[in-house]
Amino acid sequence: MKLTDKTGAKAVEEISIVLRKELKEWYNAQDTRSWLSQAFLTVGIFGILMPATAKGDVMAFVAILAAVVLPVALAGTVISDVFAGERERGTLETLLATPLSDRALFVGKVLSRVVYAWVGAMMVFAAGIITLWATKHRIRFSTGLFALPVLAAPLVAFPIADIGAIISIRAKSVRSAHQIISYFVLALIIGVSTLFVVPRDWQNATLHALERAPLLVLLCLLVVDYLCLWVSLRTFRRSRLILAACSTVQTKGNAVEFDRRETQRREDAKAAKKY
Amino acid sequence: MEAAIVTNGLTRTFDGLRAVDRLDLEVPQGIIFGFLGPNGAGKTTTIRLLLGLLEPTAGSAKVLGFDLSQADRIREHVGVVLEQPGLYTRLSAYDNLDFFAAAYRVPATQRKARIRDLLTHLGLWERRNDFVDTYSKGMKQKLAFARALLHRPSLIFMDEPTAGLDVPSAAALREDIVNLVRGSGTTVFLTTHNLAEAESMCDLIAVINKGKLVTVDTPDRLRTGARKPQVRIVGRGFSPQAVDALRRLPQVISVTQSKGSLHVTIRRGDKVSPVVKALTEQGAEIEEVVHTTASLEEAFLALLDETDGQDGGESRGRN
Ligand SMILES: Nc1ncnc2c1ncn2[C@@H]1O[C@H](COP(=O)(O)OP(=O)(O)OP(=O)(O)O)[C@@H](O)[C@H]1O
Ligand SMILES: [Mg+2]
Repeated sequence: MKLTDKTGAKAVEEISIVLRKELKEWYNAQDTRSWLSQAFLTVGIFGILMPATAKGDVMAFVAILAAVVLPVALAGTVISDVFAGERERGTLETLLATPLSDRALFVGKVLSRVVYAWVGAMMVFAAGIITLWATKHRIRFSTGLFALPVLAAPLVAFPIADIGAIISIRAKSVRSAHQIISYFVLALIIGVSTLFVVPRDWQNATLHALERAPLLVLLCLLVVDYLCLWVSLRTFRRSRLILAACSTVQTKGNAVEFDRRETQRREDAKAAKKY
Repeated sequence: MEAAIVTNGLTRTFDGLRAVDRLDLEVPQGIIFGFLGPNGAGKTTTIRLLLGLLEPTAGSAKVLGFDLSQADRIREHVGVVLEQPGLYTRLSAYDNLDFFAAAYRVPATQRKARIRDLLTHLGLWERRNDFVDTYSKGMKQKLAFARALLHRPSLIFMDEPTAGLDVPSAAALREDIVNLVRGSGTTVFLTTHNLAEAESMCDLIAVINKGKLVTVDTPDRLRTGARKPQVRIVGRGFSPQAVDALRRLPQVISVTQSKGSLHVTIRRGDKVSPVVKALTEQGAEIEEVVHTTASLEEAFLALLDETDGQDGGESRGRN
């Protein structure tokens, strides 16, 4: 019993080490302008413009934006970099040479993107409610409508981040990972949008069903998340990761690498003569 | 004392290409071990195998007493400076080391002191809060070295640590490596193309070519083993008769003459004095007698030649 407690605590600690590094790296990469433009675009469009102009059950519309559309879109945009980026920047191999477990590496990295998506979605959610209140829309109160987006957003972001991370491992570059992941994001968002195309009655029925059984919805999401995690941890092996890493370096960087070494050798020889 | 690294028939193939071919190595503890080979010889692949970052196709190895199947235990006790510095350019030097210290399980209470010690020692403490992308190549490499030392590993792998550095930076890094390693009992497994570097730093050098181990020896013995001892004799009056007289001596293997000096190859273990005596008897005036040893480079190239076989020219040409 003790042993499992200890390994559990160690796992959590390792995950948090990776998570903190990821968030710090991401935070440092932003300057004020990119902060502002990101917040302006996301909150402005999804949190202000869309709720202000929405018709029908506007409260449900805002809830779905915050619970599904934004988590998927935000996690999808930042996940492509997760492994492919380390590979491109030449940090992957050193990271893999640390004693951090495969699980900690994978989960820590995926969670960092989930946290980002969650925070973004919640900012939009808050802005949406404020907009509805300011534009004198009738705000419907129900636990389902308020609690569900808060709790569901990370659980919805997780599978996308998880699948995206696996794609990012296999992709040749961040850019190609991004392209593939974009299709997933697009497919999901189109799927959700059909809700707004179907007849009003169906739409209402679905929304009410979801709203009345928040626990069931969360439970289903948890099961999906768990399955995704289980599958990806089974396929995630660091000895394969490095192979993928080598082959890209091999195909892409061989000529460049050879040139670099050749130049270096000449310089070395010159220097040696001088001394 | 158990060896730091032992490999038995370690092999790794990539689509039929044997990058590492039945490698049998034994690296004693506490030394700087040079792993020398031309491009594509299999140096990096060997390091990846020993770190558990690649799985061997055949063979086995023990690193610090741990089998390759316990690679996570190996990684705990090993520090690395790989081909790329592997530093996060969007983190400060301090944050980089802080992350790796945590990853290598340096207790939180000791992290700060350890980072401070290392950065101060390497002259980077003042710049600890700067992002690594503002660092010069030499500084990055020093920082990578500091990272490798954080958890006081008993073995450090270094894959061409001085590649791409200018002469002073490379010399400084070499000095740091030697200073920090000597006396601490740490073993260093160092791959390099730079023969002078291998010669000045390593206690033992392994030469690898096309995945195969060619030889393991001390730098001195590698050099002297490369060719027979030679002396250069400078002076006047080296008549054809004098040269003939030399050739008749039993200890002399060959004599060549150029620009007023003679190059005499003698049998290993024989003295030079009979050679000098024979020359003076023939009326030659000798000013200087110099033993010339082969450079490690000559030795290295000779070894590659011996093992290259049919398509050997190419890898030599690159060096
Ligand atoms: N992932 C891979 N896929 C296919 N071939 C590979 C892979 N990694 C290495 N190789 C091949 O294995 C051989 C040894 O490569 P390795 O990188 O170990 O050489 P090296 O001695 O480190 O060379 P260098 O001095 O250029 O760094 C090369 O022929 C290389 O092309
Ligand atoms: Mg290499």
